[in-house]
Amino acid sequence: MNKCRIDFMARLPLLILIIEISLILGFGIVLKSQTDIPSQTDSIYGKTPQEYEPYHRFTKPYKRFFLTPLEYPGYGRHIPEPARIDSVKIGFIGPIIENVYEADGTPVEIALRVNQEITQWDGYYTSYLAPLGMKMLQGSQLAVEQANQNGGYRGKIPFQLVVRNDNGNWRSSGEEVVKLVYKDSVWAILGTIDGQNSHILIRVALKAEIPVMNTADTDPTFIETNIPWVFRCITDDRQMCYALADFAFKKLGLKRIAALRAKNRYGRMSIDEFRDAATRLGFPFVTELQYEEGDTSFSSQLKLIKDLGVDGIITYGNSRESALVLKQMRQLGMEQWFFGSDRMVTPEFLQIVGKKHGKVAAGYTYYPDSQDPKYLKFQADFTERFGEKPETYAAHAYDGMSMLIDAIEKAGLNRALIRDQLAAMTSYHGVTGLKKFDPIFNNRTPAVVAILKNGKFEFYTQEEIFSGKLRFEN
Amino acid sequence: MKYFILIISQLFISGITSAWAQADPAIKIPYVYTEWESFTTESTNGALVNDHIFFLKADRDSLWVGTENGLMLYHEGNWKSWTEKEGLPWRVVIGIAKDQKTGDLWLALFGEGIARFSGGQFEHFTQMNSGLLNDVVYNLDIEGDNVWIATTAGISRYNQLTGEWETYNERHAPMEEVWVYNVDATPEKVFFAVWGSGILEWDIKDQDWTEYLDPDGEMEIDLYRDDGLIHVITTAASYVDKILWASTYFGLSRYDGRNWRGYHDHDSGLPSVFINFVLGRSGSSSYSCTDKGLGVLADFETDTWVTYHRKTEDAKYWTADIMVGKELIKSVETNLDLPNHFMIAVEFMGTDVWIGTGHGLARGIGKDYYPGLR
Repeated sequence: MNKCRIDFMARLPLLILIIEISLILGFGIVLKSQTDIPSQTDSIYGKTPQEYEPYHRFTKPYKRFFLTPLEYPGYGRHIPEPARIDSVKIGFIGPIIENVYEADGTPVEIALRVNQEITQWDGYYTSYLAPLGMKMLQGSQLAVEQANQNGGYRGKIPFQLVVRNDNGNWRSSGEEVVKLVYKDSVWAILGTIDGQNSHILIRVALKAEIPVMNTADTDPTFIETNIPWVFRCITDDRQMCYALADFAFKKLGLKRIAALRAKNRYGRMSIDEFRDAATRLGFPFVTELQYEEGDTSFSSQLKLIKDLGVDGIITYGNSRESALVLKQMRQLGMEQWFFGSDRMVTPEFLQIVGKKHGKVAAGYTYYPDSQDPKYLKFQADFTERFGEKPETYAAHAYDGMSMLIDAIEKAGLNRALIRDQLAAMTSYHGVTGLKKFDPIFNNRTPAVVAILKNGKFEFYTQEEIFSGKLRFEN
Repeated sequence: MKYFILIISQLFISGITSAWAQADPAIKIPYVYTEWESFTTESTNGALVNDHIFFLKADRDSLWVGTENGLMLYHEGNWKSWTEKEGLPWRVVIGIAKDQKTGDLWLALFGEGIARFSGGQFEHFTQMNSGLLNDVVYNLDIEGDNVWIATTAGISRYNQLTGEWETYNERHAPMEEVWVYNVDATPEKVFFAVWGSGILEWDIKDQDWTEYLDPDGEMEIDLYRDDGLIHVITTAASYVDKILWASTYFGLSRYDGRNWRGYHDHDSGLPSVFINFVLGRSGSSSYSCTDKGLGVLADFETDTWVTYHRKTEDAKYWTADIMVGKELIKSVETNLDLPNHFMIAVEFMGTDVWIGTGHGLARGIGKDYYPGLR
């Protein structure tokens, strides 16, 4: 040991010289600007299979982004903790109905255009995402309540969930985040669901320098903005589209797929990776048609698609519209495969489509039939607390809120240090499984494929689908 | 022996960079701001009401400062402040524009709309009491009688003479996304940095839009260096000498109306590709506020840069690195002592330059300033 030290000391000046020369020759100077930042880097962004990489047949890009951990080199870590507080506030923003004056008691009657006819929409309240937002809120509430049952922040101070509504209209989420940051003085924020408002939220968070955990927006571009304050614990549409594309083209051998999707940001952005994958495999969409959110009749689009002789249809939209598309597709005698997003893996979808659903597959964010004791306990706790079983929005919100609470416990009451702790979580075992995060803090756990059989979704991993043990009719 | 090597190494590091510059008399160097005045809440005994600087606007020999907790005015060593106690409608001032015709000051209030500061009074405009599109405003600028406002839900334009409001979002302008981050108004054109939709150009004479997007259409790559705008996640636009400078969180772009030039941190003097704001000083020079210091492209033709940053976390003073492309030519110590180099704002005042950071602001004294190289 001593000899090693002597040798090292003797060589120290030489080492310094070598280091200095290296610096001058342009190897760069590493600034120590963050604490406990993981050193993981990726060689391929988003676990993208080579055949799905953009322009891979033509050239290599001049610059690849998102392969090294995002940094926050700002001043925030030096801000001292507050001297005395009564609670540790965590912000929640999501589409919930209680805070919206239009929805104080009864469903709002919203007239929507349906193929030039005005009909009554009976499905949703003020925000069409409110049923999902309520689940997200319940999952968050349960995580906070359990943390408080265990003594609260460092066994002394209770956590407090500060809830604000994202009503989906007016792009109001930005103002709500400003209030959470500057009026409510929360330490971190969980939210929201739709891509539009989620993007608005994180742009505010970037300026205000506060961590945001997203548990529900699966838009791939949400995380592709280089904001070092944003985290996402749900598998995104990039992974779900890869899983669906593999299934449709490689497993089933389909070649002619048409898209019929919602004419909104969700429909436009979330289908993107499937469209790109299809094109890069040599099977571009035969056509891509749209419908208005809230439409109930899709026969004109489906008849057009039927005439094109496709062997599959993919939709990206809400559960209700997806179900109606499928139902009307079958009524037209179209027995092709029907693909869709995780938003159609719901009881509502199953109820509308009934048993004559035919061949249906969707991407999904986790394995809901898991027997992981952690998941089973969460299911039991959630059912006891709310009188109903949890679903994906509740489960992921529970995980996201638990991650925030863990980070606050470790970091203390400093937003930048909380950010650092979240950034250091390269993996997290939550109730929705083991999550692995990439350098831009996005959950890269592979998606599963939900396949409808006899009125019930069954869930398969990529390995199971390509194991040779399963057979699917194409 | 080891002391000999130590001495040699120290001589080496201190002398080699300047030796390189001196060895070749043909090498011309840009102006370097070495003399700075720094201001923090602590150093001004609270006169500077908040250290988190969002925006700087020169007004002849005075400086307006937008902070996270109030509006400040600096004039010849004196500070004046307006917080909510003094009638400022909202604490977070994220953008400032001066109407040269009326003398009014217009303020972008982050999350609470905009305000006109006139005759010592604040007039507050929100989406509830005016035609403003959204209260989350990031910046604003003046063009003629119009106030152009960058909001998180699109662009608003307010005509001060007629009182009319116009809205430009995905339905009225070529923007796929509507999250507008920055506006730069000139007598000919108005430019908008639209987060997710690149740069939008409004031609005042033709009353028409032109959009500039990343040609490769992908978020995770830049396919070719000079094929167009580096990325659609834009943060600022600055139009000077008919040259457009566009900052993104993925690098810097320059456009002369025909050719694009892209700058990343691996091929230029940019200290980082994460650029909060860019301000053109001329068609040949721009100042990029990055999360790791100030990247000054001092001379476009020769690709000569001056990068101001703190070399280590515990460095007392900032260093100015003179670079050609990515090659370090010379390091110059400055007396700039702000504790953090997360740059948010920059402004010119004559030959001086002001910078705003996440913790304090500073003035670079431009004594004997010269553009380009000498």
